[in-house]
Amino acid sequence: MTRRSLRTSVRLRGSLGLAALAALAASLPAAGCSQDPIEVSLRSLDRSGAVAFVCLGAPGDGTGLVARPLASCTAEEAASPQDFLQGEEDEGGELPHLYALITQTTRGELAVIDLSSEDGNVLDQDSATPGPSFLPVGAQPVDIVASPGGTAAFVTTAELGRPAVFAIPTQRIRPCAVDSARCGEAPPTLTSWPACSLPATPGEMVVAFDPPGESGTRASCDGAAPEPAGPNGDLGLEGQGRQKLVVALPTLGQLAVIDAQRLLDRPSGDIAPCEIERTVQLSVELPNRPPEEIPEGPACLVPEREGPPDVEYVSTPSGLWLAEDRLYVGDLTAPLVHVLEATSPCDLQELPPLSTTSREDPSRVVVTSRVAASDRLAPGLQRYVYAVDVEDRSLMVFDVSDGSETREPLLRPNAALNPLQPPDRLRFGAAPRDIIVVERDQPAAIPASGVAPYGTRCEPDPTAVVCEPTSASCDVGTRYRTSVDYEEGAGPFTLRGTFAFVALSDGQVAVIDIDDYDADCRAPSVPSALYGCEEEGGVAQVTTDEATCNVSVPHAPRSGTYVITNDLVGRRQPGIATFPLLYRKDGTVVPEDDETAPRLRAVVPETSYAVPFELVVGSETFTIDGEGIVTDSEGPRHTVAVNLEDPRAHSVDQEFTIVYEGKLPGIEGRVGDLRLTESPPTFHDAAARFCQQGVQSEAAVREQLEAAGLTAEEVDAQAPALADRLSVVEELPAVDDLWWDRAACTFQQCLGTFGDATTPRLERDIPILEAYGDHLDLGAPLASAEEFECCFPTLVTFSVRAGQQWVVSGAASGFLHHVIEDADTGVCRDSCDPRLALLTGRMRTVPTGPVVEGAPGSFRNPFFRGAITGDPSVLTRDMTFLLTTQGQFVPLVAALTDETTDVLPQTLSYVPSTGELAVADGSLEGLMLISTRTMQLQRQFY
Amino acid sequence: MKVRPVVSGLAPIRRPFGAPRPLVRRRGQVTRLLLGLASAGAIALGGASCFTSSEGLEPPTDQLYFPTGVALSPGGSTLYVASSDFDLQYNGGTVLALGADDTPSQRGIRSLALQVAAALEGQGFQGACGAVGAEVNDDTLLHPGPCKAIDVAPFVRASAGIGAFASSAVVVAREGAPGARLFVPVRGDPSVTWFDIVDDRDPAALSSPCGDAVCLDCAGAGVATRCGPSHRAGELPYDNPRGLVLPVEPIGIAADPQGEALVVAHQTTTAASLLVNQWGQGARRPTLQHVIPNLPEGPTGVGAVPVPRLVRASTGEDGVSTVAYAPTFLLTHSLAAQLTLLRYEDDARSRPARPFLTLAGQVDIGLGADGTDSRGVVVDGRERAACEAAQGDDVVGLAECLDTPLRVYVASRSPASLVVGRIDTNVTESDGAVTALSDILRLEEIVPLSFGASNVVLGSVVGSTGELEPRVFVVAFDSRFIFSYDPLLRRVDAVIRTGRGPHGVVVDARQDPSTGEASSVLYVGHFTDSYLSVVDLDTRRASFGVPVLSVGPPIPPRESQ
Repeated sequence: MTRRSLRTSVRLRGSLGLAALAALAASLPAAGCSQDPIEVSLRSLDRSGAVAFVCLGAPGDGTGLVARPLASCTAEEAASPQDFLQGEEDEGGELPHLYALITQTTRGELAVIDLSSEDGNVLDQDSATPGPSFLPVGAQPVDIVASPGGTAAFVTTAELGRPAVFAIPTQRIRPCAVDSARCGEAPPTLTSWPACSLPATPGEMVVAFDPPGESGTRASCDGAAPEPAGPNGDLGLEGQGRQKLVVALPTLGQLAVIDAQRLLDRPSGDIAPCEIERTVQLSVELPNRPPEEIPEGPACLVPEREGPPDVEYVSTPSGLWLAEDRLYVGDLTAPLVHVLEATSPCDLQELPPLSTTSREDPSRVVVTSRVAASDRLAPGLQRYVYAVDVEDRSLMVFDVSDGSETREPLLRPNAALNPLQPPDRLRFGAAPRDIIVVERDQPAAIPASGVAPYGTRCEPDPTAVVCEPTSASCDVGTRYRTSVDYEEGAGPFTLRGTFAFVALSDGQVAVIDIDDYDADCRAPSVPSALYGCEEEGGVAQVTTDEATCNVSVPHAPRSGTYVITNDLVGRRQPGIATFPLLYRKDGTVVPEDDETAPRLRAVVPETSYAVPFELVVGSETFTIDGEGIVTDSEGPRHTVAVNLEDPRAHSVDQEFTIVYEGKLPGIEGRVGDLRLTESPPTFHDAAARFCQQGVQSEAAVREQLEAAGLTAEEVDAQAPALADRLSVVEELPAVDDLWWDRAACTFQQCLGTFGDATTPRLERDIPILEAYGDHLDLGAPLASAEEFECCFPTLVTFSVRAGQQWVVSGAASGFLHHVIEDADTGVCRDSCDPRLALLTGRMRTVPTGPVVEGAPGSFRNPFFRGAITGDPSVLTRDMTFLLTTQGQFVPLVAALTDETTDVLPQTLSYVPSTGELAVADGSLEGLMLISTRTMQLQRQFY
Repeated sequence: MKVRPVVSGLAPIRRPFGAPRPLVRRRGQVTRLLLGLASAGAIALGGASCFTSSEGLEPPTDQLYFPTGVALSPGGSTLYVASSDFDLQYNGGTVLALGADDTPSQRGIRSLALQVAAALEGQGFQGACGAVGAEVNDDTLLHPGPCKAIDVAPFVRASAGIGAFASSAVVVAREGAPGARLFVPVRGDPSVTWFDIVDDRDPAALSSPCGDAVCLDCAGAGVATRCGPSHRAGELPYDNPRGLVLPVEPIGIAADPQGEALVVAHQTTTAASLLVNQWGQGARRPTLQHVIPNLPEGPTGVGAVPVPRLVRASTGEDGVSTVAYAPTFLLTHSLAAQLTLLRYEDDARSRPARPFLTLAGQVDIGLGADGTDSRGVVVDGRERAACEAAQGDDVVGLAECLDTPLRVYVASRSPASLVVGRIDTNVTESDGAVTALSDILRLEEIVPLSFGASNVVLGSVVGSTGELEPRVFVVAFDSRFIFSYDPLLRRVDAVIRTGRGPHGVVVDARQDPSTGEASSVLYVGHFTDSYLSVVDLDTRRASFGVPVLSVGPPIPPRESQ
């Protein structure tokens, strides 16, 4: 499919309207003296909200039977909104049009957009009035749904004091310019529609079917016989049973069930109370679940695992999603997702809910907005529910398959490999606004039969019979393999399977793999634990030969690239840009052939792998030798091994600094209160959160060394040297400061003792004996306490430096550690949570020689692993290794921000007729349609 | 006539202390200038600087003139409106004290507005408007509401003259003792001009610095009772131990709940100032104490984080709390996609104490695609305050209240939105006792608005049950809307159409202690047309969201008259 015009311009009629105001404001930013004109695009849609789609045939036959099932509409376009004939020469049959009905939340209107027309898409309901006119539906429209057959749409409105549901017969949504039957009528007003008033502010809404019983379809839940439908349309013609609206009433904690046909049959302009057939009061009974058990360990703390406060929660239903016989309901105040048996909307029954929990912060009350559920997935008929965690920019995934044993968010497999992501949710940089789950395929045909079966998985087995054009029989799964040029077949943009799409508040739509039919072909040809595979070695498979077995992982962001480095794809495998270099404090490079200098080397695997132990540097791949060193034409190089098990851990390419006795990032620039004359000497900064900054006291180091089996003498010798120290970086008061007139010390004396801030002396360092969240217990400083307090008479700026250790810090990821605060004593210690083990940022120097994984001195963070060997006596403060990673994980997203950053997605829909994703924008961008083949913005209407 | 050269941005008007005030005259093109404001936002008030020097006029004290700041007295009986004299028609701005409540001899704006709202239910426009002496409005497009504006003069209880280009206003009430002050950042001086006002928290025992029922005490002199130098904080370098003067372009201002520390944002100097407010007379007055430089570009709005009550409850007889905490302020930026957290250190352990601000952190506004232009900011501690109020001085209960997060709301223009976040209080304990508290900010949601968001305030509406329900009101200056955001449902629940240039707003929601009857109104200062409107916030009435009363009358900018 070729990409169509990105912008469909909308002509603004007249001089009024929001678009005119926008243009006015945008054209006058330089008022005062500038006269330069500024070109702006005009907008007729403003603060769009929810959207529904209907398919309508040509108007004008007088029967009003214009509604068509959505499947009747296709991607074929007509020349104009008035053109309803197929083919370029109109030689075919009827070409129904696909319409989007989109709420305008500022104006309380419903805009109608013809998606099947090449031009004039935004329908002006009253061409006689200046400015675009839409369908009035009441203030604060909240949600809209359409009957599946397109006969009517229903809109909930939340105007304060006047909450209501409006029924919009679709036979009346097209203006005179399209439907001549409307020409004699006045433009629609608020009283043009059947409506009823609700007892409280409505939320979201779904259409559910009350299935026919033995005695046929009933009109009401109480069994009344159906009456003849009124002139606004007969929903019964759409089949499947009696249509009911299930409307959330958030402030009442209820769901209300309203008969759609009876609402549609009401006289226009009468807004009497809705006839609510059933009311479901949602309960909040939190499952009694034991706290997660984290094993105790040496020299570490078991983090608190208490759940949310044990209080009485009330329900505030938010998002609704109906999946066959289950209705899932998010909740804005209670930590759960309601689950209701929904075989019939007349008999909604609450089932045990899903618990919205957080492993990172078990005490948090996790509330949800939108929810979405997958269809049942082959072959195991699994079903998953996604829910938006409102306060965490994240999504939770629940397994709601029959027989599922958990009601809590799914845990990510091997979560410890990527501890920067929470173990039980998908966190984004922006807030998820809406989510949908879509199953789609691009089936390939079996050459012999021409049949293109849906749901066929890509086949990497080298013994499978490859389909050729003349094959009499073959394995059709081979047709989905990636081509040798990486242009076709299994690849980032080939979306075959079940996927979640997430509209993010920053104007992006992300893709989540749920069941990727091509996952088996997106892997290394030979599996290895080095690549995160479950198997080691074996027969080479016909795959993309990507550098990890976790390219496509269920419930994880989809990769937007191949994870491989070659000439066709580029540098997409995690590696480093250049070999690391070692710098002195003055910025000069320490030659790599200096045998006295420390050496950065990869840690060596305990056992050999079935694949080579390699490192990608730039565009070249090197083998790491048994010493953990890469040797190239320039000789042995500083080396690390880059982790390949989980490519998502490499969230960004970044520069790492490994600094000897470096400062802990995050503390610099703060001020605190130095109380050296107290006993014991302390340092206070209420907001420092020393534990969260990763401060490691002498007491903590002692415990670590003891746990490692060192003798008491060794501990006494090493702990003071390795522990962090407070470093006062405050400038001395200026030489002419009034302070010196009455101080017991002089400026020159202080300068001699402490140096200035640019050339500080070691006297500014004070050992940290114990660290707490808000203060430090200090050891004796080199200078006297009185001299300290005299030379620094007020609060002081400070930093914390590591002892005789290297501080590893990423430009983006920062200094990683897993220090937490003891809830009882307040001291800072490492967490015992094994999922956080890779959150580490300290390296210790060990003697020269290979270092095996897990041995003393070996280091591993989420990105790389290595060790520093050499003679500690030659090390000097601020000596620094620099290395830069490459091959970051690039998630597959559709960006809506190519031409403007004023984008705020509100709702996300899938349009099966065209295979597009539809994003309603809360700003001025209207309706944006994204191709699921290219993940590019394809059409836009505003 | 001398014509000053045009400079980019609005050049600060600095002059030596004691020098005669330059009198200036509008050169023209005011309409264009004001429309430029519409895109820049009233709070910025920048981008226009084409004016000339000449003789000028004393500002009128019986009308509003480009109002920017609107604030209520602590008890709500008096409304203070700062006029900016934005087109320099006069030689300065004014602060008017308007009667909101009835007095035995005079009607108040609030009571008249509520009378109109009630009358609209049965008497129609004619009867409702006529009862308050107003005509039925025939220009609802430009000035929404059932009634034409009535004259503001009968409501003026006191007035004072200030420098030109007032940018906002905030009222501070003394905690635990009588006393109230009004602070107005004035860009033309630049200064923070302050007033001793009547503390009306207890209507039966007003605390008046001037002996009258309404005061605007600022050591004023002259025809327009222009405030004296002792009430223009930041002008005198010898007023503080660091020898500081207030940087140019003071825009946003906020005070900590104790009314001790005030932070002022300076839009063009990447700086924020600290004023320490000493309650009392003479030397015990607000003074500039510190200026923190090198902040992200365009400091604009300031919000104060409520101090946990546990801090005060843990204070011993020595006046020192066993729970360490530094009051926090949030700063927005019109040119950077960041929020800045500043902490106020009183430096009490030093001799002499030299209070200062520290940079406590910066949070990226990464929720939207841009986020580089944020304006008003407010911190909502009502839910926690309700919890704390039920605990008395029980430190255990007060500590549990810290589990209730504070909510943060930021008006952003890029894209036009309300950014919603939360502040969690990090508790440090040692041996079971709370020893320190600190604030952690994170942003959660972004809610679309119409273009031109400029200001945000907290308030309440009267709900369907007659109870006050919390809301957040966001002003969209350019598009003339005020959005009501429901924190419970996390969505906009009403859009209020206003007249042109709404900016300074304040909500007065009350529950009558004797009858239990609730009422709520929203005062809106209209910068562009120089008038004030009062919006009914009772959802039970058809007039909800309607400017039921306007006082002014509206004065269009000169070139558009």
